[in-house]
Amino acid sequence: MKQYIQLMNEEIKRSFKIYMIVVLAMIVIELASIVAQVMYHARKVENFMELNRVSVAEALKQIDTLGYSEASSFFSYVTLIGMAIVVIYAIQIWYRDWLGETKYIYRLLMLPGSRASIFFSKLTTVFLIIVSFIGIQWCVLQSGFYLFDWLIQPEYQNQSGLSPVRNVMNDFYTMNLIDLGIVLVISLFIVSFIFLLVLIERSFRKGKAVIRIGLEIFVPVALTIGILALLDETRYLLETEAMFLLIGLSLCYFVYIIWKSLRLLQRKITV
Amino acid sequence: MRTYKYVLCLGIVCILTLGVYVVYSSSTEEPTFTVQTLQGTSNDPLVKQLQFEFNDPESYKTNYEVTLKGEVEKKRTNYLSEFVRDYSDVTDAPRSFRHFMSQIELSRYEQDKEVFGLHVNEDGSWDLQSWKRGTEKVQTVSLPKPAKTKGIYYRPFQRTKQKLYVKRIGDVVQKPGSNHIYEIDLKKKAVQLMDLPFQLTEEDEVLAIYQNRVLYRQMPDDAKTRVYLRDHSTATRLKFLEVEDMWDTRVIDEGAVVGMTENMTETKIKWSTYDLRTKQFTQHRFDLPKRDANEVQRHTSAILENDLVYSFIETKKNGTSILVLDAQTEEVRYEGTIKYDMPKSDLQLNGMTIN
Repeated sequence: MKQYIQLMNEEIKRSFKIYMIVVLAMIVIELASIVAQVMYHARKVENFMELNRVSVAEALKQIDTLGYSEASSFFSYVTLIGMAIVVIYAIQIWYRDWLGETKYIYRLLMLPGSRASIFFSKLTTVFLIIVSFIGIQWCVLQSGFYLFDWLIQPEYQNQSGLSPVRNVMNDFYTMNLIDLGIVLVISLFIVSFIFLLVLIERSFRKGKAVIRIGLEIFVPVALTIGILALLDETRYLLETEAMFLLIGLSLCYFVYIIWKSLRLLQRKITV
Repeated sequence: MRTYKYVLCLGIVCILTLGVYVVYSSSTEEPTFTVQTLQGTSNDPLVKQLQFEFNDPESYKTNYEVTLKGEVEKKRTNYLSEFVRDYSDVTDAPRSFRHFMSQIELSRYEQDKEVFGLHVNEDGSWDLQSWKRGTEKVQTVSLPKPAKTKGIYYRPFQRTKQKLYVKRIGDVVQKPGSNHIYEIDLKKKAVQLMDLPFQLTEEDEVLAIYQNRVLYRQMPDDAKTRVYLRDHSTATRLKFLEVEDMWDTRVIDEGAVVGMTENMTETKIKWSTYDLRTKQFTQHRFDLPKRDANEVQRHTSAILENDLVYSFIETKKNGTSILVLDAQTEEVRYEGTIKYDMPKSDLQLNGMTIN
């Protein structure tokens, strides 16, 4: 356990600077996007008033008022960028150990004790990064609302749905903690799958690795499509029963991913 | 402690930021609903199954189902439950019936709280299942291929005592026509082609059958829709039933009367009935109490079901007013209001369901 936490601390330490840069950049971009949206909207209204010589009310009838949902539209793009960064990080967290000048992986593999702590320390690090991204994004969304409310002139503001909860991300932040749990479980599943592919690539020679990676992707995809098609064709199970079956199969597959990854790390990967 | 500096740092960021979200989402306030009965009783079997669904825009995946007895059920959906949402409207039925109703090529019909499902098999034979709401009773009937059947599109449209009438609604290319009517005897578990005193065509749609009288509408491709009452060999055109507003018809009194609701307004509920026994057409109207001119009316609806007119009007100030009227006598079966108290947010009424 001590080794696992120490390794995790080391992983976070190695990425902390870049993590801080990414987080700060995202916060700045998002808050700046709100300022820009409010200013752009205000200028649009003023230009319309000048050109058509109409009152604010008439201009707003044509241009429409600005709500927080529209002002926060840039957040969804930043979230997508965040997701892409996590995927890249899940790959980089392994390859940097092999490809770096110091060949850090040899030191890791030579450590006494089980290699499982290497795997789980990396998995937990990526998971913590995901959790922090989700939490920080929510806090920025909340702060963004107060910034929006402070910046915008009251008559330019869309009064219906004036709440920090009604933003562009309300399909993600649904106020239902089960949804948050589902997002985290799916994230963990995807990260574990990426880890498995990386470990396969590191365990076999090029041609064999490509075939095995192809199989690892093709078999679950084909099985899922096959099961869904069979369920749809036979209609033997009701929707809820089919869902429980798929959840059960996904859990089994998750256990397989972890088992296979550990097996590769402990038996196939050598110094 | 310094050895775990970075773990602690990231851990604290996670706990603090996600904690804000967890606290925010678990501290949303709950509304309190008050149901006030002005006339009738909410214990009436045809009234107590009325349910009103309210949605909280602040937490848009949370719905409140309120019955006229004042029972409130909070329903929260999540990604998974939305993925497997059951749209069949028979979620309380036994599994075998739900399984039967989940088939693709199936015709569904409901009358007097009894749900029928009709499936045409590949060999042309019919499978019929019915379930009475509020019970566990499912009736299964397997019927041999009836005479003059073609295609798979058949739909029950009326139940009169132990007889269920089924019309053909087209071939492979769906065309609303019912040139053949079949009669299923639910007691004898038999089906037969009805021997009508005249020949229906592909352009005819039967609305109701009462003894030897057939009310149907003729929908030629290039002409106006016409409604006829056929009695033996004579056909009478009923122009008063050829109004576009009245196209959604329901059988009342086991097919002896046909009812049609019109668009409800904030001042009145209007509907019409046509009695096939007496050939009498009646226009019904119920005036609603006057409301403040500045009171915002949000949602009105009137539907004909179980021989009753169920209607509601939602306003911001007075909540939701509910009226249940007898479709033939206009007598008020139930009148009441549902109000809610939620200071910070404003609920939205999604609609009314009759279970």
